[in-house]
Amino acid sequence: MFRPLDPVPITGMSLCNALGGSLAEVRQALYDGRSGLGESPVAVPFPTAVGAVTAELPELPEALEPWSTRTARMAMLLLGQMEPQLRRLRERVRPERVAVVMGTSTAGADVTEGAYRHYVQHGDLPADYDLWRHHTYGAVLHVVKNLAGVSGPAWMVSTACTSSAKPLATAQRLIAADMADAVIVGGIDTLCSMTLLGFFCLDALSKTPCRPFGAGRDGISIGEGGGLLLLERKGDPLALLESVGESSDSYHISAPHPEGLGARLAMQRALEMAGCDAEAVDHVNAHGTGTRLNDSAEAKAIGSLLRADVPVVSTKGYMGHTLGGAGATEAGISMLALLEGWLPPSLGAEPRDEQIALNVPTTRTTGTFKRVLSNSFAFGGNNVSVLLRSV
Amino acid sequence: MSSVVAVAGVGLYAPGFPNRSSWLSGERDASEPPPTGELLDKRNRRRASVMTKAIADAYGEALAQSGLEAETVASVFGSALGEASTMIALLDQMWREQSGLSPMRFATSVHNAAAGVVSIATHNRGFTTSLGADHDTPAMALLEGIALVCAHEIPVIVACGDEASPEGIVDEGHGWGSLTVALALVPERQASAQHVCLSMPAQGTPDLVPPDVPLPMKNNPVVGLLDLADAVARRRRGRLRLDRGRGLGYCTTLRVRG
Repeated sequence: MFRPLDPVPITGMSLCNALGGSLAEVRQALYDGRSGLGESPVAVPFPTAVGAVTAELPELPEALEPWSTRTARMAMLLLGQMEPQLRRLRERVRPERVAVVMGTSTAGADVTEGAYRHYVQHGDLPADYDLWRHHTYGAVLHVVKNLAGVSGPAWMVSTACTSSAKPLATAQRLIAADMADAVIVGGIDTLCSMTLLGFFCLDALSKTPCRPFGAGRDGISIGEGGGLLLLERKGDPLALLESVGESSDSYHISAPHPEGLGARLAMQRALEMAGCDAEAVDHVNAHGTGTRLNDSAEAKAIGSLLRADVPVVSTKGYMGHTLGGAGATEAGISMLALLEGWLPPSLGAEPRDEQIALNVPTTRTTGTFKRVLSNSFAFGGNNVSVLLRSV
Repeated sequence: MSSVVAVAGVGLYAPGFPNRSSWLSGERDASEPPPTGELLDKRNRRRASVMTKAIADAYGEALAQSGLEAETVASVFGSALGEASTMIALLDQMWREQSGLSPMRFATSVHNAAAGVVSIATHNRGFTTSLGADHDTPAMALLEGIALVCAHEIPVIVACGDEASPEGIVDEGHGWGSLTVALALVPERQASAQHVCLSMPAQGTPDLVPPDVPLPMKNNPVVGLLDLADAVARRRRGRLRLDRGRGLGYCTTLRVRG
C-alpha cells in the first residue's frame, strides 16, 4: 500500500465543456438537469451525439499566437476563470515552485489530422503546421505556463480516459516530496474525427445521447472540454484532496475487467491512503460511460465496496465523455456536491437496468456530502479514484 | 523526506544496440535486430507496435537487473510522441484508404499502450502512468518517478522511448531514430555501495559531457535518458543535462556511493 500523504487544499477550479464556457454555466446546466449533447460538428458517416464546446474561445496573445490551437484556446479560457486565484498564488509563491501537470488523450490530433490530410492530397504539410507547436504535449504546457506566469516543472499525463485524474495524484506527491508548493492540474481534449471513427469501429459509440447505467445503454457519446484545478500546500480551500487510488486491471488493453477488479482496487486504495473506511463515502461520481461492459464492471466494483445506498451519478449524459478531460471535469463536478450539497440527476439512467444494483438517482438529490469518490477508468486497464473531502 | 534515489537497474533498446551491454561495449550490431518484446504475452506481442516491444525490452532488462518484483513495481513511461506510427497508420486509413479504422490499431494508439501491455504481461495491478513533455520527457519522467519513490518509499521503473520520427508530420532533416531506455529506481536507504544515486532533476548548469551517440539516435527526444543510463553504468559523478540542449535545461546530479 502507498504511504498516506497529507490532504492538499484545492483552492481554485474552472470548467469548460458542452454545458458552457464558465463554471457558473456548467453548474446551472447540471442543476437544471439539462444535457449539452447534440449534433456533431465533425463530419462522420454515422449518427452520433457529441458534446461540443460552443462557448467563444479567446484568442491567444500575440506572443503565443504561433501556438494557437483549439486546445490552447480552451486552456486560456480555463485559466481566465481562475485568474483571481492565480493572481493570489503569484503574490505568495515563487513561479519556479508552481508545477503544471495536465492530461490529454488527443493532444493536437484535431490539427494533425487536417495537416496529414493535406500531406496525403498535396505531398507536403500545410505551411503553417508545426508539430511542436500544434500537436505535442509541450505546446499546451508552454501556453499554460506563460499565461499563468509560472515556471516550475511541467508535463502532460496521457493515460487515455484517466489522463486528467492522475495529475491530482501527482500534485499530491510533488507537494509531499517538497518538489512544488502549488500545482496547476487538469486536462483538455478536443473533438476530432479519429476519436469518433475509432470508438465507432470498436462498436462503442451510441447513436443517441449516452445512457449511463440505463437499461437501454448502447455506448458512449464523445465530448470535448476539460477543467483545471489549483492545488496548494497552503491556501483557502474550496475542498481537500484526501487521496488518489491508482491501479491496473492487468487484464485487457481496451476492455475492463468484467468484475471491476481494478476499479475496486483503485477505490479501495484511495480509502486506505486516506485512512477512511468505505462507510464514510457519501457519493460517487462514476466513470459511467454508457457502454454495457464498463457500467456493469463499475457497478460490481462499487457495489462490492461501498454502502448500497450511496448515490452514484454519471455526468457523461450532460457533456459526453471528454476522454482526457474527463477526470478533471468530474473532480470539479464532485467539488460542487461538496460545496453546495446537491447532486445532478444521472441523465439517461431511466429506464433502469435491473442488473445495476446501485442507487443511481434520476432526480436532483440534496444532502450533506462530506466525502466523494470520483472514478476514472481507461484503456490499458488504467484506473484512478479520487477522494475529495469537504472543508 | 529524501529527494535522492538509487539506480538499481538499467535497460535499453536501440537499432544496433539491443541491450545495455551492447551499448556499453560500443559494438554496434549492423544487422539491427528488431526488438523482441520477449517480456510480453504472445497475444499482445503479436499486436504490439515496434515501439511497445522496444519499451518492453528495455523495461524487462532494467527489471531483471534490479531484481524488483514484476508484479508490484510501479512504473512511469515517458514518450514525446507516443504511438506515432500507429497514429499515422490510422490517419492513412482515414485519408489515404478512406476505410474504417482498425479496432486493434485504435485501441493500441493510446500513449499508455506500452504501460497497459506491460502490466498485463507482468500481472501487475499496481501503479503505472504515461507522460510526455517534448524534449523534457526524460527529465519529467524522472521527476514523476523520483516523486513516487520519495513520497511513498517504493521502487519505480522509469522507461522512456520514442520510435523513429514519423514520416509525414516531421520535416525532412529534423527526424530521429528510435531509442528506448529504462532505469529501475529504489529509495536511497536501499542503495548498496554499487548503486549510483540521482538527485531530483532541476534546472542548472551541467558539468558532465554526454557520450557520443550516433545519428539519428542522437536527435531522439528521449536521448537524455540514454545519456543518464550511460553515465550510471560507467559510474560517473557530476551534473548531467537531460535534454541535449533542446529542452528547458533540467539536470540531475549523479553520486557514487562508497
